[in-house]
Amino acid sequence: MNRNGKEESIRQLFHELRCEDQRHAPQFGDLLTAARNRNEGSNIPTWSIKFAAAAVLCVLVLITIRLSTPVRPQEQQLVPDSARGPLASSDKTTDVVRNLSQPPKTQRHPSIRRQSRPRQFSSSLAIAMKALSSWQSPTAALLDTPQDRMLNTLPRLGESLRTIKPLSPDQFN
Amino acid sequence: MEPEELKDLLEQHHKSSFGWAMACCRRNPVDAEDLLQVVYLKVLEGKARFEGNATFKTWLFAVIRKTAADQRRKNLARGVLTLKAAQQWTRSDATEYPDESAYRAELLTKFRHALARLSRRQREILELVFYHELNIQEAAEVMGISLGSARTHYERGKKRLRQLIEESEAYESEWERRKHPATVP
Repeated sequence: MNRNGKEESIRQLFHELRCEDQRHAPQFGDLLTAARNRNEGSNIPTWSIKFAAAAVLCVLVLITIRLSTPVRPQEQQLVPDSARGPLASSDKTTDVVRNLSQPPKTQRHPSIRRQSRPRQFSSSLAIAMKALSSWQSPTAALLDTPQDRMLNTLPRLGESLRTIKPLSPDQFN
Repeated sequence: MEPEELKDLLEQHHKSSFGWAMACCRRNPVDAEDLLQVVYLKVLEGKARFEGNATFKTWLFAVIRKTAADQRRKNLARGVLTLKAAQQWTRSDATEYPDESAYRAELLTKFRHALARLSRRQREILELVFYHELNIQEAAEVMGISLGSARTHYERGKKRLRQLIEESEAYESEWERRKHPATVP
């Protein structure tokens, strides 16, 4: 087949293709109605999806900021003892140690407020010091005797040794 | 231009627009319908405006082509949708047009496959010239390329398409010869 014949056959094939497409083309009215319905239906979801995505993003950012900010010991100190429960009085020594291990608030520069490493170090130091100061030997109770109270206290005026109540074993502890 | 006038013009060019949309969507009828819906909305809502610099058909075809390119980019961004489109295409290719005669269907299937093997620009210019009977100048306007470039794509595309059809015919005769060695001289 020569070149022109080939070109004519190509033209013929395109013509066949066009006839076939036109037979299966959708109606203009149907297509336009579908397009309008699609447009009306897609407005609200697109807007709401964007809004929901923005809200989720905001919440995630807030959570990240909250988690990345360490809790400051000063904030704990500001809580009154009465609000901290019955163990508050025993924490007083810890607070004193903590205050000693940290520089005074007025001396700190604002730019170093977020340094978390020294703060962690000072709190662990305070815990260690508290543990050392309250440490007792497990066998210390063996050294106590019933007469310890008599020996370690002064009798008041008019009080006889007989009036001093003997100590029960529970009072050793 | 008034919306009613635009609507009439769109209706007038609807069938050829569908054919061009098919060409821009690799002959996938589902995608072509989606594409035309988007294009009609664009035109009627004034997002695409006809300024009268070219014929309405040329302008509309350029809008269809540009919208198809946008859709392709979106689909590429969403890999899942591309996969879905490919599945739809395969499905529609296998089941469409059951009323055609076997020979014609086979011929057109081969022709579609040969077209699909051309480069996008070659395929587009051949479709515009042979299918939509535009001249090369108008085809260049639709495609947004220079006349010289359009001519080059046209010549190369035609040559390549002829070659692909010849290859297909040669493959068929070779297949027939191997299948029935006694009957083929």
